[in-house]
Amino acid sequence: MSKNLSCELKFNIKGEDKVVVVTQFPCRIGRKDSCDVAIKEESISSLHGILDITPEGQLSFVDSHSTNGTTHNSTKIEHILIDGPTALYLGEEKVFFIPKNVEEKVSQAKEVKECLYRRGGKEFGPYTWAALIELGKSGKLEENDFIWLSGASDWVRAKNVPGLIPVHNTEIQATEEQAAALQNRRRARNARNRTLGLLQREDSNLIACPHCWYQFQVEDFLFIARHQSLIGDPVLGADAQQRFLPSRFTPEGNAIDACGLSCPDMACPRCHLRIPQPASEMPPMFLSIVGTAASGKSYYLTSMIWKLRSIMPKDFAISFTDTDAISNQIINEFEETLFLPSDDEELVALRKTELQGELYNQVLINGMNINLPKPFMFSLSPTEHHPNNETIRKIISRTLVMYDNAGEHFEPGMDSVDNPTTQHLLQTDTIFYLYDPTKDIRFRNRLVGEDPQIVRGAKTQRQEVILTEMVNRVKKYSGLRTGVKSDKTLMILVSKSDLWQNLLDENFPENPWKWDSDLNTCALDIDIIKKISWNVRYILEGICPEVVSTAESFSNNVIYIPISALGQSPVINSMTGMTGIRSCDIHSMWVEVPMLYFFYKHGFISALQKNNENQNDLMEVSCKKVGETIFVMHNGLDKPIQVPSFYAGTIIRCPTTGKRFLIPEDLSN
Amino acid sequence: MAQELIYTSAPSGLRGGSGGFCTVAYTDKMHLELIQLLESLSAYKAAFSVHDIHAVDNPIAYTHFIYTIKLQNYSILSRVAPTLADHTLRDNKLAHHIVLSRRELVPAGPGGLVSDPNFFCSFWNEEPHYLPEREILNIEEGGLFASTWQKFAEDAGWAGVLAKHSIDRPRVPAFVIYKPQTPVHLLFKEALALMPENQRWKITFSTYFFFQPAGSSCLWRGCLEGSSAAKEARRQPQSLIIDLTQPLPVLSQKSQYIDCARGNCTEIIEKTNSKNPANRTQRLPYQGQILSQEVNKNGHISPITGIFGDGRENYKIIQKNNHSEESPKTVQSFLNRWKDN
Repeated sequence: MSKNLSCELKFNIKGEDKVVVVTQFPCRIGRKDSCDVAIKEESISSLHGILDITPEGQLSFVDSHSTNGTTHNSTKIEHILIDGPTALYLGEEKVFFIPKNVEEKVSQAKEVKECLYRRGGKEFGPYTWAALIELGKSGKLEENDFIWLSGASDWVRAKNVPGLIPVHNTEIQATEEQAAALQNRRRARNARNRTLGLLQREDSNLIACPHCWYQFQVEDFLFIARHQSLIGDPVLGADAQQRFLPSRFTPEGNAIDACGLSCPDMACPRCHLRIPQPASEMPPMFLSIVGTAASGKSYYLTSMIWKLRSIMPKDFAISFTDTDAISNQIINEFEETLFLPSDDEELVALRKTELQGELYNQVLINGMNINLPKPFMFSLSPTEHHPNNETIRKIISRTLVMYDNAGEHFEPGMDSVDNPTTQHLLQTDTIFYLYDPTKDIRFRNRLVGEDPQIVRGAKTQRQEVILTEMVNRVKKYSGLRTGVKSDKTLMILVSKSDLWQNLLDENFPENPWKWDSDLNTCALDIDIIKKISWNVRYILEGICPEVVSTAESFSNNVIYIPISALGQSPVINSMTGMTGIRSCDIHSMWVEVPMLYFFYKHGFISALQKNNENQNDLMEVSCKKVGETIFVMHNGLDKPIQVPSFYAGTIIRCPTTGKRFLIPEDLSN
Repeated sequence: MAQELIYTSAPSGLRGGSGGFCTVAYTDKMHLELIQLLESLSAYKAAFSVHDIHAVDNPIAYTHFIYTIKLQNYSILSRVAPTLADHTLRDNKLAHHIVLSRRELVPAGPGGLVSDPNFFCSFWNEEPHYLPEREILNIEEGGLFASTWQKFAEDAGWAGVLAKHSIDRPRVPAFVIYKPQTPVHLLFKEALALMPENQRWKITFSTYFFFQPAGSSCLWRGCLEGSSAAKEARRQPQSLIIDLTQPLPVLSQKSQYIDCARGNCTEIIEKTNSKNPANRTQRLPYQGQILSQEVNKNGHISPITGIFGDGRENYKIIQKNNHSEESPKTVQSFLNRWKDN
């Protein structure tokens, strides 16, 4: 039965009726273009729900924790079996789900003359199909009556038989009520927005909580009571200040608590954790950093933030500041430890990232203790001398949200309901995956230097397992079908490059960006980044091909970047047996480049004009594109080089001959 | 029988595929919900960096929390402490949790158990394995004189202040701010010893408080000086704060607890439950009425028994030995204080 199952979705967007036939399952329905069915309405969440076929072969719709929920017959539902034509409200939008095989069943029945209906245990009929329709039109047949059509195995409710009960009979009253309620809600929302003075994104007025990733309307913000007697919160515990939905405001837009104090601080309606006001004004931009335990994620994060603080305003005319000192307290401490110690010749170390404690907030949601990772938040906005300050101020003014996950969080089996610490993977459009070459014995054998992490016997780990687990989690959270690639950008950051940069054929400059006098800012050299990426990819393909294949089976946008958070091997403290680094020895390499590329992809910074490299020096090659792979052939090769289409338009080096060639940009399949 | 769990950073854990910070041992057949809870209680925040010369002064966190799992109350005693470098040559910690059901709540109380040097595991270099259930034995109690308080607060009576605070205001936290190397678990043990046996297990505590776990209270909080928890403590005017880093004021208040802590009396104030018919002597006519006298186990007449009319638990003052006897006036003033509260 399920093999031929399809479902017709009918909905109305801005007065225009739309019909979509879904034949592939699971089918993601939501507001975002990345969904299989995109319904661009404000009240629909970016991923609202998933239409799928159950193991029993029935269609089902599962709400994906949408902000405004899914309603069926005025009842909020999380999961519904679609066993007949069903009208659901996704947020405030009505969508009809019509399983195709049911309709076929009904149409077959229509040809049969014998139809019965049953009400209160009594059966009426037989009627012809036409007579039954007349009963429906006249209102004698009610939506909750049961219908039996000859040949059918069971009775079905009249409302589930298409064409039998006119829509206006059953729902006009509800629609009017809903319209009135909707109007009231919108009015309230607008009033609150004016009071709070919050900026909204143009496409949506939803706020995304950086703690639990719940999306909510601005009027649902809770405020944090300030009076010392207002203590005790059901979600945060007995010590926390109470959260409340305000009814009174000061002229400045602050809520007034039960004891009359002005309360400027706001909190998420789900997790009750504080959301700094700038984070509510500037839409968040999530970034996930993934890697195995001890791969150096905390060191990388710290070095990257430290570097971005200085180069972003100076070189790219974008201010990069802490959104809130409280939220970033831990990363600030990390920066102080590494870069601002009282004695820069003393050994320092960042503490091993824990799976509980100071990096997490414990909240009690639905009776469960849930650990939520504390976000680090940074405000981005163009400086006054930014070339397009006026036009892009609103687009670039964003809150960058990152997390310092422990590597253990990405291990298979660690994604539990009480520990949803990696669910930011769903929110982000770019993932940084930290690959540590010292953890791979094949790579380690080719490393140089006296690093305690590469001595014989030091622990190794299969890193593609973590990458595979990450891919599976993204697919699970987003309902992505098997075999379908994600539209996220995956950056493979090959760390500790100070130990292996001798393997690179390309010389990579210290800073891959240059001053652009037209822009009055620097511009990123995308060509050199892609060239280096191709070179690193080739090295990885030779040493650990499974990492490359796993990454490229996940996304078509995979870029490989060498980085070194410290630029120096750590040393062992003979007293403690633990590794540490001297601040004066730190010379990080390319730690900011992945983030600059991320900003470039989001249009925050510009790319340098294409390098007019002497095209005469380039080797002539023949290229053929199949899918997302370009097959490049030239003299002297037995088999073509396979280049991801990501590198189209780039001059890259042939790994075999060392000669350069250009991958044409306009290749078609 | 008690259950236990050990959590540290190791190359591999007991759960297949786990490594790094993970559970390396737990009592066979422990419920998953309990395992997850204990893991969540394994947090540690080093006050001093691993390469700091003061790293050895990082406090050990002894905690007692109470949780309800599947309608059953559990007292969880834990020791979380920094330990030697792990397999990745980085800092490490060792958390040992012991879960007691009602039957294992021995009279020595949580303070007595956590202060026993053999109660917790302080070193781990074994392969992951399951543990057998553990029998909990009572610990011999010492005298009531609070010698550790005498040393660190210069007046042992502060132990009585802490004990009385939690008797009088059982939901309001108390903070003890201390310098590194202060044996806070001994301070708490001595204060708990002043309390009636059936009250000791109601006191949740952390000798090194740096985060509040959701789902359990933490009534006594040891805060290292200069820590954010210590700063936070000063913002809570309703709480009791005993700052051992500053000269403490001369204790002007008087109570049996203070006297006992100073070694001036050997009595403890025992609390009984008015809902238990065995403890009732007569039905209660109205609030605060003194009802009867009764004979204690030693054959002495106990000074007085009082039951309050609002359904609160009553207090019965009994003599532990024959050396002293509470005067009716003192008892009456004690009862009046309770009534006022």
